[in-house]
Amino acid sequence: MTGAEPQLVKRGAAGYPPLLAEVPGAPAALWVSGRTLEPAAYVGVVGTRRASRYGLEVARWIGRELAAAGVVVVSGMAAGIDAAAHRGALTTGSTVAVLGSGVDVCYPRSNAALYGQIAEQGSVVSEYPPGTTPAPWRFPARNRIIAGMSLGVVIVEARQDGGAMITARLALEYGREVFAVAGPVHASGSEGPHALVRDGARLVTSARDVLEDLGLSFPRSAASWTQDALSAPTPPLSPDERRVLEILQAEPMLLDRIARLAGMPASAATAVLSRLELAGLASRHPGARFARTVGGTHH
Amino acid sequence: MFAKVSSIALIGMEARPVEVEVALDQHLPDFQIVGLPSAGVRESRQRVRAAVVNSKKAWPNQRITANLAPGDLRKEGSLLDLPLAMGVLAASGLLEPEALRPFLFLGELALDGTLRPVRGAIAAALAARELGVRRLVLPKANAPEAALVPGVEVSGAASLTEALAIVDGTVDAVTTPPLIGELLARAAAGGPDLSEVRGQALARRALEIAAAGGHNLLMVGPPGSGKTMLARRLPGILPPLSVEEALEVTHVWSVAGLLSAGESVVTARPFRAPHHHASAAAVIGGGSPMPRPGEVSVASHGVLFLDEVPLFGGAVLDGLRQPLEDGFVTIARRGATVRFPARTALVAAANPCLCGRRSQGGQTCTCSAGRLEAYRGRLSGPLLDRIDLQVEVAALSEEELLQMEPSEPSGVVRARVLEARRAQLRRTESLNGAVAGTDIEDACCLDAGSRAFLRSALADQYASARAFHRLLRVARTIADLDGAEVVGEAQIAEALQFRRMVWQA
Repeated sequence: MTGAEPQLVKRGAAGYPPLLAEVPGAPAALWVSGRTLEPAAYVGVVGTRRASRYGLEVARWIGRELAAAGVVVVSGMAAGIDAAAHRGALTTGSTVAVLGSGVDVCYPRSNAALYGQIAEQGSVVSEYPPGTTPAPWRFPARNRIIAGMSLGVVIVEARQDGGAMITARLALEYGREVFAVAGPVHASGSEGPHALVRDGARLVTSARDVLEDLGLSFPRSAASWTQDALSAPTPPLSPDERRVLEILQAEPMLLDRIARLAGMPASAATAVLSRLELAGLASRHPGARFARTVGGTHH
Repeated sequence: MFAKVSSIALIGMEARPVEVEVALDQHLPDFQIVGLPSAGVRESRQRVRAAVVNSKKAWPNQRITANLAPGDLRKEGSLLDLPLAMGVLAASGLLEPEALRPFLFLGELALDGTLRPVRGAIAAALAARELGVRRLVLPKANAPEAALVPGVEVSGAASLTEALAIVDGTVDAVTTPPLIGELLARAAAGGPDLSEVRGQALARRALEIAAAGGHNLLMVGPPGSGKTMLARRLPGILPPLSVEEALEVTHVWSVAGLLSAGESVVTARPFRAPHHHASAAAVIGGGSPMPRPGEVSVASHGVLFLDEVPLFGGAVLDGLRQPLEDGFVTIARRGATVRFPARTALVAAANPCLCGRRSQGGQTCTCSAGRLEAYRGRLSGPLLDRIDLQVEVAALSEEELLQMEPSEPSGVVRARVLEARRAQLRRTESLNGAVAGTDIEDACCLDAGSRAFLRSALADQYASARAFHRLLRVARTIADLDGAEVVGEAQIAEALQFRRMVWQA
């Protein structure tokens, strides 16, 4: 799986997260594969497996921006928000995946490629011995490790009864910061973060908010999504590409509309959109719609 | 007390000659058929006797033995009724056995002596021509299709009495061959029009590319987004059937028994949409003992539309692979191996998920990740490999619908398709969808710039050679639609939108 054998790190030893050691009920030892856990600022980014496109984009963006600021993003490598946060962090820095199975067991299997990348560029952590298969009751237990080792936890999208809410509650218990990203009121994935905000969690709209609240430096982090979108470095564009890019918005729209507004045949607009996608400036969304992306978040 | 009648047995698309020999001898009255008749053929005895009696002819009060030669070929179906009746009547002296020599008979008898249509009349006419038999007598409803085959005099008989009259020469019922070119010209156009589809520029373009290059197409979209509506409009943007194509389609339909009574030739491109509960035998072809063509063959030179494609049985989807690749279906049976044509355009449609709510604005999908994976996994990789084009069909909001301008009519699209097809046939003698991997690279004439662009576009896709060639095939067709000799970056960029990515939502 990974070149090196998983290491067993005892509580209190070097390579055992000091913050986690303070937590009541912290595991006596952790299995770590990949890089050893160096002392660093760890921040959890978690959320639902059934994420919306919005949630995935935000998780990825926050993961990327946190990692760019030197923070190590901690999450559970579940499908959805967790995976998006890991992916974002891997583009600019490091990340830690805390598993509910043995560190050599990739679950869900759909994350196999991501698992391999984390084991290479980051660390995979579990309190269970290698070979342990995933079981439903192990996931809430691993959430205490995510909450325990982190300075704070960002909840991107979560249902009220979701596992991410357990992580948020544990973080509160351990005296860690809890950050919530707001979402559309009608989406079930917004229930969790909104409830947290009502209970006093910090409302954040960017990684910079998180860094600021934690007293960490934020040399290049954008203050907001829209600002990031504008400040994105743009490669040289052809007039057609610029025309289509100007039409695109954060809200996905149909090809028919884009072509009409750009005054070009749909086939030509399709080709231009492909190029913008390759340049990371546009992205295709479910429902055959296209939107502008925040500089390079996709890939 | 002996007579011999020529007939046929239908083996797949072909008719094999069968000699029906009838002998009478003095014995207790009896009627036996030997020579490997199936249970169905043995039932002929009752029909033949009743039909003869009800045609006011005397049934010989002797032992009748009918032999179907060759004895090692299994005979099936009801088309031997008429030759058996003619044989019995000739053997009993009602007819001069010599008078039957120039004829080949086939047809199913009703108890009152009328003739019912049978499958495979075209195959019979082809066999008659090959055997040097000059005249073919068959049920009236089958006469027009059989008359398509030149060189055989076809006579349609409404009943046993009429068949006897044809042999006597008292009735002249030679069917004039249909003017196939005229029929085809008259059938051109018509059918649902693309201009009725609002919006869906991406899907309409995919349909156009599929028509132009003979590519198979997968559409993914929520229920009600218009996948079926779009698919039904594909035949309308394909070029009209050529005479050879029409003959092949008609031959298959004749073998499948799908021609309506009196229909001489299939003039419109077939559109077949089997339900997802259909068995492999129904879709691919099969059945016992003699296989019949399945929907994939019936849709030859037309469109095979599989709605809800992940819900089709695994055997159906796996079985489609070979016909889509080769353009024909081979079915092996103990007695014979038959081959049916299957040159069809596959249009598959699927919901993005099981609950159908995914990718619909404001609704949340309730499918679990595992169920979703299983649903999508049902589309086997090898079948997806045969599908060059994938496109998402969007469910439009009311507001979006109102913004849509009227779209292009089918006629305009068909003109482009025709032009693009001509360009392809000039270059490779086959449509891009059927051009093999390495050949499509040559056909694209990529320059260094386009190659570099392709490499960068596919860099993060773990693209296999197959995916690469699928992309090139589509890009080649787009270039042909654009009237471009060489595939450039613009065509590659457009083709990128039709790759396998619609599932990643």
